[in-house]
Amino acid sequence: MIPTPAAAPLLNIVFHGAVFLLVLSTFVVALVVWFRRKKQGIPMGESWKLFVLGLFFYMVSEFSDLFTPSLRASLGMHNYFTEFALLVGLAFIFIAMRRLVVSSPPGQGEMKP
Amino acid sequence: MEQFLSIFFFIDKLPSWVLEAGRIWGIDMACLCALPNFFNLILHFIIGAIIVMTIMQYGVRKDFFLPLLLLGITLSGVSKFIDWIQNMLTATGNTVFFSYNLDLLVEALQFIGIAIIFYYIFKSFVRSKPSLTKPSNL
Repeated sequence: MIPTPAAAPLLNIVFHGAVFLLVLSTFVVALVVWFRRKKQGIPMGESWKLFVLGLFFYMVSEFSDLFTPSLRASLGMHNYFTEFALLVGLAFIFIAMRRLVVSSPPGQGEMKP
Repeated sequence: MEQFLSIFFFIDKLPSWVLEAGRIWGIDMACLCALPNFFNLILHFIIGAIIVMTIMQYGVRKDFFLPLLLLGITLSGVSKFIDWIQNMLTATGNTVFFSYNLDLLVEALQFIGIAIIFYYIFKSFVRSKPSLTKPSNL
């Protein structure tokens, strides 16, 4: 039987919530941009798809991270799911970023070959 | 409670040489939570090195795209480093280590870091103008 987690300080929950909302809003905006460009017939590059996929995993990770302060304080539970989802998300985002940085001169955006 | 924790902490079930190897390389073998943290750090190092190499190759442009991207990576990397330290202190100690103040620092650094990263990725992607026609093989 897992005991009820103790209440975490409000400030910690606010900070975790802020990170989650940032990633969530970025994910939503990324989807809107993707949808609008698709509607206009403008194909998005593979890097963009990887970026959006990475944002999804990052968002899921941050959602579960919302419960981290109280769970850790009371149970000593380390949230494997949070860390692994973050690892997968960051991997996709960094692959997209690498393509962005390497395949284009700085500040010029992604260039098609 | 102990049964629950034993799912996450199996330090007594691992050979001592495995635990020692984990400690040497900074990977906790007792509580695998720090393992993804460790690889997160490696990822930050790799992408940071790529950005540094690109800066050395192209130089710093007026819009400071790469240096600011590097700043975001650095802040995010520092937050992951602190997070990793917390997990390692738990894994190699006898009690659970969790500091609310460190947790706030981790989240604040992560927020600023990823905000910078996302902003510049978005700016760079949206400013690019992909061709309206699909590239042909001709």
